[in-house]
Amino acid sequence: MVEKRTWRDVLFQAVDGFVFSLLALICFYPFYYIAINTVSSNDAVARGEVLFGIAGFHMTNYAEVFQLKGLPNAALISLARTVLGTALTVLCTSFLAYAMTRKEYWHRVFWYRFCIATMYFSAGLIPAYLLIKRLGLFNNFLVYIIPGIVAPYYMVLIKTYIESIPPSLEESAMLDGAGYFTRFFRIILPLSKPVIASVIVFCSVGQWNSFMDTVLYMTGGRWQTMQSMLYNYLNETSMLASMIQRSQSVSSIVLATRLTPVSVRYTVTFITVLPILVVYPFFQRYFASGIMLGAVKG
Amino acid sequence: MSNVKMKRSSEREGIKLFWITAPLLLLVLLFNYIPLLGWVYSFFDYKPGLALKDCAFVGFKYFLLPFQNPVTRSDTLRVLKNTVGMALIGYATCLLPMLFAVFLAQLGSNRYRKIVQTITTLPNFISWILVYALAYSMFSTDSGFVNNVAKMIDSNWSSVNFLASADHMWLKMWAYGTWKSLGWTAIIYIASLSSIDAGLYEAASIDGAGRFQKMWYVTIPGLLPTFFVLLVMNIANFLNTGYEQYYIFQNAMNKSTIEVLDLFVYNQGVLGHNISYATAVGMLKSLISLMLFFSANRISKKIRGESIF
Amino acid sequence: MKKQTLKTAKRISSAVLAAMLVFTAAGCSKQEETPSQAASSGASSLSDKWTGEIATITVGGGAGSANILSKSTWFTDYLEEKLGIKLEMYEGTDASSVDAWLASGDVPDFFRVEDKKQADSAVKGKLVANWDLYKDKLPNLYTNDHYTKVLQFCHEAYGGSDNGMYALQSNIGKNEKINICPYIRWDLYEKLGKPKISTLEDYLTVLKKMQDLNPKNEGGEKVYGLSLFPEWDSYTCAMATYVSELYGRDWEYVNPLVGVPADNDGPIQSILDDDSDYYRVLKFFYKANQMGILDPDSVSQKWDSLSQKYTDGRVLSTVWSWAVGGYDTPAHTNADSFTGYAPVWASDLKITSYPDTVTGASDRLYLMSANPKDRDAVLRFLNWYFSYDGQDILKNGPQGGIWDVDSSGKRYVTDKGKEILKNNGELPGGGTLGDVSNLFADGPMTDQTINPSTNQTMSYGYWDSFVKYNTDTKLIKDWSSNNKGVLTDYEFGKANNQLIKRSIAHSMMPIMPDDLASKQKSIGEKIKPASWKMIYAKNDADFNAQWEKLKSDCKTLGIDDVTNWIKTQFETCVEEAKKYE
Repeated sequence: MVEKRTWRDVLFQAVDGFVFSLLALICFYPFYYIAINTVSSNDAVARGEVLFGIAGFHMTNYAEVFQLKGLPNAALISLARTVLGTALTVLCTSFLAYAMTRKEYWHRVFWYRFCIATMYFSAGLIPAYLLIKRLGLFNNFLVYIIPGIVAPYYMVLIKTYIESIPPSLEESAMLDGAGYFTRFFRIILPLSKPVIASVIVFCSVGQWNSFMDTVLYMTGGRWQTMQSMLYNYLNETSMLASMIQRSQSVSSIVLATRLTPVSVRYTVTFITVLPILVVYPFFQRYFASGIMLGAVKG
Repeated sequence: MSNVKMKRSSEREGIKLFWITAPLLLLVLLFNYIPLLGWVYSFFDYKPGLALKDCAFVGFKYFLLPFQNPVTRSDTLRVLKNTVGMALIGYATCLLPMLFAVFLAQLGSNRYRKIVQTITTLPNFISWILVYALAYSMFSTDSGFVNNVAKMIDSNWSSVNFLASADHMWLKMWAYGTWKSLGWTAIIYIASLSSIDAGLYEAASIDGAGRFQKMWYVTIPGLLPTFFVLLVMNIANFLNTGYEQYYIFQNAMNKSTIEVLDLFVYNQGVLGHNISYATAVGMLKSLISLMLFFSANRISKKIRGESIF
Repeated sequence: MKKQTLKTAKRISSAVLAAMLVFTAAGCSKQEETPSQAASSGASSLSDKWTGEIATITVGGGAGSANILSKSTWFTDYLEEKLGIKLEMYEGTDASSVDAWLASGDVPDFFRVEDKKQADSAVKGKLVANWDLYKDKLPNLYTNDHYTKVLQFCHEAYGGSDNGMYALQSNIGKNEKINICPYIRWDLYEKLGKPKISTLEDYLTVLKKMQDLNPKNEGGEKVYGLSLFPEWDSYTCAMATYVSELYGRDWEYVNPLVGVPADNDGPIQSILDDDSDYYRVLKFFYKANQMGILDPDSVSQKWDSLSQKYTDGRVLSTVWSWAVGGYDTPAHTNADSFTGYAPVWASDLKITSYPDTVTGASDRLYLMSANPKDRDAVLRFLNWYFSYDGQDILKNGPQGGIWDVDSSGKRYVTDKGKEILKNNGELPGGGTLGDVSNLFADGPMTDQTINPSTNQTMSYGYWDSFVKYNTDTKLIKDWSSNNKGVLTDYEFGKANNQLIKRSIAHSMMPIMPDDLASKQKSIGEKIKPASWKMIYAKNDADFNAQWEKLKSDCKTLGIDDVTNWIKTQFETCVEEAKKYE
């Protein structure tokens, strides 16, 4: 049924559109600022002169980053951990979430709390480090994947969503003799596309941006991710000043005159974010797939 | 089937389901509960490299450290005040992501909506160090954009030092935090919108409901379960603000109002090097978070009639 | 959430703490070679190629080291060819990473720590080896005159339970240089007629006049006499601490809460004494702010911003010569109407110069793992690392890179070398000198140690020809002609008899007990904001009120306990130092 558009409607949508345009502007401008600053002359950038247009176009910031040896390999590792880590985490966490929605689950409340409570405590760096070591996960690609397989926060999101699915849909499958896995993969998962898509986005971004585990658990360059390389690259330039202050060695003083960490940071940010932005719209369309219409009639 | 038989078979199913998920639960145990054995460090003067038995036992010394003399007590109180203050502002505005999603969905054009949604998630990817660099170029006294524009408009404008003043710090931190996270947090609400039965909207239309009534009677109630779940989780987290955002913006002038608990702990050198002290603080925060979590859960059960967790 | 906090924690702390150097031991293959037999003043003595297998050793990493070592550079090639060594990094630049290594019992084959406590734990936990056991494999260390005193000292300080030697201090050798001294814009000072500056406070009027003479830079931006930044504050307002040292007292090495006369001659000041240098400097900055010559963004700006301001000529004074390297380029200093910075000292200042650190510096300690995979490889590397030749390569690169030998046998920096240094360019073989500097900025030998095979300083930075080249600008010539013909700030200090050499006792302080260290941290957390608030105080009443409150707060926190401990410990250090001086 098509609604009549009253003048109130028009006004409302205009205001709504205006407010969101403003929001979008506040969110977009800083990003735009970063983008133009990565290709503008580094001196102008450091002086804060580059506000609306590019000044002194150059691509050396990017060239320097892309010349880092080992970057392609690191990018592949980043990609691998993102894809594999996300796939495994989403699969296991969503199945666990589904299992927790089933009332017959053995001591359901206890186990659910068992998982959720982990969000609120942590024993700190050293115990985690020791554990990873004892499990033999040092210098092992799996350290990027295994510890994060069950993610309680996403579990909560997925469980909440699944609970909004009318139970009759699953019941009819049960009556047909379908087991847990069948119901999960054939019915629940397809109906949960929006939340699964969201969790995939959250999880991938988390995997893509993660670098501390590389720094802590990997020695040598074999399992470097793109993020850890970029993190090192950033710290290289910004640590020089305080190092010079302490060591006073002549060659580090020579380097003092070429610090431009701000432009470097902008460049690194941009390089990191771009892949995410490219992939994001692909998942975005799943956010709004409404499949409820007519499913429950009768 | 008799009731008893059904009950027993469903019990069996429940146990079967448990065993299917047991490996996952084992992983949770392994990576989250086993490391808690490290809490024992807080009772010793632990020095990495030495075996625990070679370290001095100190009992509750590190737990009592924040309270040992008037100065530290007033400091502890001050940072708790800052933490609670900022948390309260956060709670007062906790409806924002949900409202964001609801009003975003009202935009006419699909394509525009998607573009706006993508753009509003961008700030989430800008690290706090960069946010500071941006804020500095906007708000610094000397060459900041805002002060310069104000001077152009009103030549008598005396530069305001936004970054180095203790005024309105809580609001400012809230503003930066919201700008950074609003679009991103709203994603889950946007996704949840599609879990609302479209038939409900139809029925509402038939009953003559207008746009706003539909939002109030269909959309928002449909999003409330998600909202409460997130609210309970956030309440339990209020002590765990993290320190990065506040560390970056902190300076001598605004320290009194910007220093939250996590930043205070970091500044006192706790995180850096005194593992025993850091563990003690971590333990205390964990216990408080868990208590808050279960209390919030119980309260929400009273309000909503069902336990969320 | 938690992970994010930790992640970001690491991010920040790394950016704040200094880098740890990667230590890779690449031993020279020639066992018969001793330093005195090293080849003549030009050629590298490692002319032989390593013929055995290439061994990999692990080292504690500095920031970016994984990146540096992942590409093939002149340095990695050199190590492989001459010593048969590959380096692998344990990354982690901050103390927490070292803690993690120690807790797990898995330490790199060779690494450095900055905290004596960590060295202590490593020794007690038997994670590190006793160097004495390998004396015969480390002739370049044990039979080298350069190291006699430091070995003696480290046997005492880090002897462990069996009177061996478990840790070694770094940065050993001769020093004739200054860290902190006043530099101001010489051209503007001359325009004013070079008014006499007799004491610290006189700078205020001079800087004000200079600022009035030059209120805006070429780009039209405001110029300030003074500009500060808080990024390196640890227990005090760091800039105030640095400037406090202009009267011959050390406020950094012994302890930031006390000012100790550099030559140990005189009473020790506590930071909260009403007549302390620190209080005097706070008042100095406060007056500067009242006069309008202090940058209002000092309290919120990061080092990057300040560095750029210097490059843009927006700040007229500094205490570090290297801070103004961005401005003091030939475009400015060699122009006909030259501009730039030069030392101008008040006549009552006593400028501290570095000591001859015969026992090394205690803030960087070398440690060797007790269980390396390949002990011989580690020792091979260490033997090379401690040799003159090893350090020579690390500081200067190979011959034909930035330096060469002239007809009289003296080394000099080539024109090509000067270009490379200016732009941090690549040496033949790939990789820059800066890369290595990043990994090895502090070595076991100071830049000014004399290399016995060349009779010149170890580092190119102090070779006569290079110093002449660096000071060959119209600016410096002019300044020099006004100052008895000296070329550097060190020479200036000597000529005016204003130098005071710091005693090595200042680097010998023992580890502070935990509870005092905690107190010191809380005290620091009070001193920092109070100092800045005093600098920006609205009026004298405000300034004094802050000071009084600070004193009373710190007293409650136990500052007297801390300073008493420091003073007692320092007495023993002075006695200890006499053995080596």
